[in-house]
Amino acid sequence: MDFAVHHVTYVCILLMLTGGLSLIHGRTGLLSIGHAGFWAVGAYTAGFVINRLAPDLLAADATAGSRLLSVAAFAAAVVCAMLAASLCGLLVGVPCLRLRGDYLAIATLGFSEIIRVVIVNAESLGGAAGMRVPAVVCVGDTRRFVFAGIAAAGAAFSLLMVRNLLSSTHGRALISIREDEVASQLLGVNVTRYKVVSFVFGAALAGLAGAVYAAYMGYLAPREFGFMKSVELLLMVVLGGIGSLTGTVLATVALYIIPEALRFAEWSVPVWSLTDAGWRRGSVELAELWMVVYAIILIVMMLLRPQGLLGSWEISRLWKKPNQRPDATG
Amino acid sequence: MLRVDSLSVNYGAIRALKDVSLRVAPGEIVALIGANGAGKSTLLKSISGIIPVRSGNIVFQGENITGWPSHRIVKVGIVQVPEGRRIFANLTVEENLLLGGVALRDRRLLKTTLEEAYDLFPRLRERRAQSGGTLSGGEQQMLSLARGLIARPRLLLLDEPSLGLAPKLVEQIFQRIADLRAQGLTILLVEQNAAAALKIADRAYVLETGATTINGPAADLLNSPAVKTAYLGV
Amino acid sequence: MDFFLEQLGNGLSKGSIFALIAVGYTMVYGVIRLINFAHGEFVMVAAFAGYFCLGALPPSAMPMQGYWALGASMALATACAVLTAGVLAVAVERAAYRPIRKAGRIAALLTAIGVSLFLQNFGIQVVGASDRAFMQERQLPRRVSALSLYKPGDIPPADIYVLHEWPDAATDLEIAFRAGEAIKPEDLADLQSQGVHMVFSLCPMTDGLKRWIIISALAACCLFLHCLVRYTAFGRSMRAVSYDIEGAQFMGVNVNRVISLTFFIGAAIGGLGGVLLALFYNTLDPLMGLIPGLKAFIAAVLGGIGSVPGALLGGLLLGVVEDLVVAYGHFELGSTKFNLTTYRDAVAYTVLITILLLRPQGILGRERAQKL
Repeated sequence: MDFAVHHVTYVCILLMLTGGLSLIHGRTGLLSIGHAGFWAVGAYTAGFVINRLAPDLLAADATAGSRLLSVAAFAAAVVCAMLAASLCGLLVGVPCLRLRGDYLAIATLGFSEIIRVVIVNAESLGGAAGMRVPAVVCVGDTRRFVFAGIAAAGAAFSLLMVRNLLSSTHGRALISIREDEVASQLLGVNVTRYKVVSFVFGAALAGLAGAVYAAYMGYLAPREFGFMKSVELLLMVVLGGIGSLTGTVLATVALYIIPEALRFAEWSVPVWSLTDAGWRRGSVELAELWMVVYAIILIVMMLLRPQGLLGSWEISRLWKKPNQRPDATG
Repeated sequence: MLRVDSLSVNYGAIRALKDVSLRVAPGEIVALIGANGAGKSTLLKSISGIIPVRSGNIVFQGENITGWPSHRIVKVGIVQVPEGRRIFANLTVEENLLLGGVALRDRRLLKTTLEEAYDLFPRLRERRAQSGGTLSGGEQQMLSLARGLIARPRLLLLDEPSLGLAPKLVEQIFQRIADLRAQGLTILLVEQNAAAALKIADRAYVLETGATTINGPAADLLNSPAVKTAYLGV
Repeated sequence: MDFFLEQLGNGLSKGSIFALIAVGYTMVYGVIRLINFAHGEFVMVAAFAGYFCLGALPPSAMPMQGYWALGASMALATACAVLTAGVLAVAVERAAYRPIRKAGRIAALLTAIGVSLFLQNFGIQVVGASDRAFMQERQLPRRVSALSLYKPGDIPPADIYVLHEWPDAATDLEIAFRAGEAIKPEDLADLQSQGVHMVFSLCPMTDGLKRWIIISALAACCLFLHCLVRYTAFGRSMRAVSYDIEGAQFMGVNVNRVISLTFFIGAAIGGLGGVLLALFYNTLDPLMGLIPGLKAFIAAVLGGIGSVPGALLGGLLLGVVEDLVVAYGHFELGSTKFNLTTYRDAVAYTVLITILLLRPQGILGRERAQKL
């Protein structure tokens, strides 16, 4: 049970990240393989703020006042994290968004790696050893439930914001950018502005995810925010369906649950390995092979269905008739 | 020599060619005229194997070449001088010519055809070491034509050879085309400039929105009222 | 000054490896505009192929003696590595990249990331995640380990003695040696008399020799690539395809074959880089391709992606800049102390972002109009 609550919290944190990435990638066609960088900025900002404001407000003899203060510290951390991440989004976005698709991808990767190297080298952020984050909001048995609630609220907020942004005029402008950037420029869409706005917004959601993650985990390690994390997040968005928020949510949940379930199942499979003495037969747990399977899924998916599992299908189509969808003039 | 039977080609969901049939006999110049977007270039590209064919057959000298990759089609002797000349600006003039002979295995033969091309277009010899991008429009057209001839084609497909050239140069190009036919080359010519094309062609086809509407001897088409009003601007 | 030259030499040899790997990125990008993310993994696979070949055909199995045996064994291992990388790249292009060539650059980049992930993790499953020493003692012609085991005067004779590893305790010795450095036979006795416990080997490869091997490999590759691209029919076809794929098709160029060969050559040269990388650091593991691969890619962008001379220049430049920043990165500005020595990896990325913003076409690249 406790374990299930942890998984729910973690999935909700992932949803904030993939929701924002879905906005950036799915709807504008911009590829960011550095999303974990924004997440790191959010998490470390929050960790730093909490360390400053609430070093040990929740000791055993904490008063009601200090409990309230720790909630306030958490709120402040969330705000600071989102601001810092969106500032980074702006910093990366404004100059880099003139770059074409694949170049932008590499620039975002470069940015997130710089962030990681800076964190590893910054003593005030704990360096390579990692950073402790004091407990905030509450401690004890109810803590995990409270944080599951916070994470769920954060995920709901993120997904709703992304959905609203997508169904507004802004959203249609973004889609037109994805479909044909030059044409939408000619139609008077301020392409750069829309790109920057969606980029900054995606970064802000990553910052929110970072703040919740920092407060929940109580410990931050720079390796958590590496390049592989960015790739994992991107895969969730891509596999679900580029442009489908429903697909992103499903893929996020599925790609998180499958490896956990495999670990639980403890199936072992025979493998051959190459040693200095030659080939040797052995066996390995399926969970360890997950990354190989993961890569194969990605490749096969790109070969068979490059638009992702759901394409741009949304669950809301089940209850919306086609003619009720907003028309171009609305 | 070339037989195209009820060829259909799609561009995505759009049917670009519908049931187009066409014959080219050895030694002929056949002109293909029609408005912009009628499918003339599409037809040439599908003959060259660059655009996949949806249905129908392309038969060259008794061999069904439908669906062959473009490099094999060049090897059997169908060479296209593409629209817009497509000069490789990052290659020198000589390299452009040699590239035209990429299908020739015999290096000695390549050397002699190269010399022949230079004899035919002395201007290109003067500029052999220059980058292809620095040539003038007329010179580029010469290069494009010479490059097509290097591969020793049996059937030459010319796509808009007069496009963007000054009237005097247009005349020169058409003179060259007539000379090539006199040497025994078979030519399928796509032209916007219908009047000039019909003057040198033996037969002609009119292509309208992806289908052939009129065909017959070039002289007849030149005098046909329908063609006159639609394509000759009379 | 000596320190500077030392750093320059180090930077140049690392840069040469980057350059060799960068060639593959730039050639592939040149012809099909794909950032082949899996290129670093081709490099890794090549290094392992070389490693296992060296294990199967060690110098002792060669018909010659001494240096010749080592050279022959290394040459075989390198050939094996180069071929493996080339064949792997052709297979990957055929199976994964060709079917999606028309699906757009983002789909292609994602596929490449998928291939990269696959090769890394498949590699971890097959050979294990831990790192191995490329040149192992069993592969060396003769060795002396733990100098203290020998009585003075009994040290086996050799052309050259190389310090394998310098123990921390010995840093205060008067004779200052660094690991990988050659030691004269007469100094050995001197060290021994001071009671040094350290591991020596008669490894014939000093760091200096490795440096020369690496730099001359680069020079040979430069010459080879120059001739290939400038003077052969394949080079002409490759340049034509990179300028205008359809135009090349009109000429009768077999575009698929040109692309396959481009992958083969790019990966083969990268494979050579992989062997040299393993030799230079004397270590290899399934993730070894990732960082050098990224840096080589940055080198390619720096030089101008699509330009082969650009990749070579970019690689050398990046190697040298990285090393000099690390070597001279600690300074004082006013009262604040700056220490950039631990920011080695950030240097490359900063270079990347700077070049993308100021001159996206790179140093030697030409600006290309966007096709509508």
